[in-house]
Amino acid sequence: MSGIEVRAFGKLYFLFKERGWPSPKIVHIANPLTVDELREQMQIQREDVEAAFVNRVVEPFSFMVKEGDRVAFVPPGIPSIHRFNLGFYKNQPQDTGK
Amino acid sequence: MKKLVRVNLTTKKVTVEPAPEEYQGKGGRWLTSLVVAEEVPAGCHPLGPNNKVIFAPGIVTGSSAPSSGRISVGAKSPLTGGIKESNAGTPFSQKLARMGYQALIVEGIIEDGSRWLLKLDINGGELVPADSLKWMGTYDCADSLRETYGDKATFMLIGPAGEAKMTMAGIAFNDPEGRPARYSGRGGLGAVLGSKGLKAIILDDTGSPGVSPVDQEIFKKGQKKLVDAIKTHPITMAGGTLNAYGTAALINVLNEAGGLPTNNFRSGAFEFADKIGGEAIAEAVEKRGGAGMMGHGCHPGCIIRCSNVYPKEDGSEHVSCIEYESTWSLGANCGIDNLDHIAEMIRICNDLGIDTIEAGVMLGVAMEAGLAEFGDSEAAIKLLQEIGQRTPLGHILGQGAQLTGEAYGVTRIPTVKRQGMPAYEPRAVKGIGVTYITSPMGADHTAGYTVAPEIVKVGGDVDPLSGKDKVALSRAFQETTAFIDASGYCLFIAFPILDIASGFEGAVETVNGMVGANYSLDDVNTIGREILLTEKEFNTRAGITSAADRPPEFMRYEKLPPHNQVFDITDEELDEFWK
Repeated sequence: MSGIEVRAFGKLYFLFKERGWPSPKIVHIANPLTVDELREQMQIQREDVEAAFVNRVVEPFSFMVKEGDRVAFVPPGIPSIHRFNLGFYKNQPQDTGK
Repeated sequence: MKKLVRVNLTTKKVTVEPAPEEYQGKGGRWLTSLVVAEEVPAGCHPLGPNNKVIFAPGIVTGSSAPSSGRISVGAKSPLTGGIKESNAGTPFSQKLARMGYQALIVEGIIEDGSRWLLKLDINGGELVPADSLKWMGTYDCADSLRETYGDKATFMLIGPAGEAKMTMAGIAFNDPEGRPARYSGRGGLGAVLGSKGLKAIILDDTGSPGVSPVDQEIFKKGQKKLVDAIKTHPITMAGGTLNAYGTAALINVLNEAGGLPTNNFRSGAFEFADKIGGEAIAEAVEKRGGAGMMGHGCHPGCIIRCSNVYPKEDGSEHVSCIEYESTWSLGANCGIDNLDHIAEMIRICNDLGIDTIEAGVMLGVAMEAGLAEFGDSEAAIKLLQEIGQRTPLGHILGQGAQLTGEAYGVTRIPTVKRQGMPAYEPRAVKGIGVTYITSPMGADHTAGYTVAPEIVKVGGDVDPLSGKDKVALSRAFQETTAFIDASGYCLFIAFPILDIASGFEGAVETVNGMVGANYSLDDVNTIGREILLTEKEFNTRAGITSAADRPPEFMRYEKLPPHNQVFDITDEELDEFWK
């Protein structure tokens, strides 16, 4: 079993460091699970993740991942133009302001 | 009534005149592009007597508006052959505004090879001989200026590359600590000043009248909204992404998206991206201590503070700053994964007074040509030193990526309108590719860096790998960006306004309060479009038509890994931009 390669950026990069995890961290799973379930299994707070890449494409949190996939968690705080261009918003509630 | 100051290097005269009525209420890019369009013959040689360099603070620059210390510089570009606007964050902008100057116009030319320094005060100023600064690197030159004019000297200068009229030369301004490290880097504007023999400008702001909003109440109301947005958004707040990791926090994200150009745009992913990103910079700063710091501000009053000071192993200062574009261009794009080597390359670029984006793109092309191996930082440093030594090879490299590629028969030259592409791969992030291609400035990521809140409503299904709707979106981005560039605000204020609409309202209200206008949010795009059309019209007169709005040919047929994409937005779709 090859496991899932998990990376994390920004403050989550340092969370991995604090926990003594390598980057990428290899996570083995028994059965396919969603991005959100993977996050939960790794005990990463939901509010600390704005978007997730699966195999270099931003996917919804309901997207199923399996052994051999490459996942990266991105925290809030990426400049708007890139959140927009990379498709972060397709997975977000359409909140346009206060 | 605000003033213009004209400095003529042919006659050595400095004259102050009232700003024309049509310039009232304008600033930044709005004003520099307007003056270039009105006063510079589009067909002139960019390094000849008829080109002019225009400096203009933004509309709210010099006031208490947050993060608003931008200086816009405009001219006909010797790199692109078209109009150019390049702006920087620096105390220079704030002082120039407070001195009552709406713009500084540098004209004429020196033909005897002499160098001059402009001493500018509120009554005008004088040109003084500056041959003692000839060929001096920017760091030594800044030291010399501080020695003569005091530790608090506020200045602009050019490096040896500008003096040698190399088209990758930028213009350096001081940061708050006096480093010559804040750049209007793009488009070869330093070469235009070099052709005029103007090595430096020193500001003496004694007796400055300051900057006062016409309507203080509206200004303050808008200021509060904007400050609240900046201070509460995770990208711009204290301890947020930009403050904690700098702009280079994007390295790992763009790499993960397969959009980080690597080895001269041969791949969109760099195996060692994590070694050159913002997280690695922050770790080095933390570990080495000493002079190193994250959260450095480029001008007083910036509340984002995305800059940094990168230390050497012993904690002494190496360079300020390592930002996203520089660590990409001199790192991933050249296959180089050592931050200390990248820091040294940035320091050399700064000392020579050259644009780090163009330098890195040029090096990637030079590596493609076989002048060095990808990943060989020692060879890359030697190539940069050729520029400083002004060898025949250095003169070729100093003209940028396009000319270097042409000189060596390279077909893979990642430029648009002869300007090197920044750090986002057009084949993997097609929206920004459209901006590179259609901007009157040549390939420029900052030309379309602002997303207005209403765009989110139509942006829910944005796919970076698809060309769908990208032309219309880029047009909207470029219009809003042009307005921000006119305002004097740092483009990064735009990051929170996508989510916090009141911040956008606040920015517009500060502009309204400053000049007594009544712009609506819709007017932002109208004004932005007016600026873009002024620039486009200049380019057309200069012979740069929509036929130049094209990607490099190799991006049409060469599939970019890891997504194996080509740039597939058609010429006909691109031509829709200006219709």
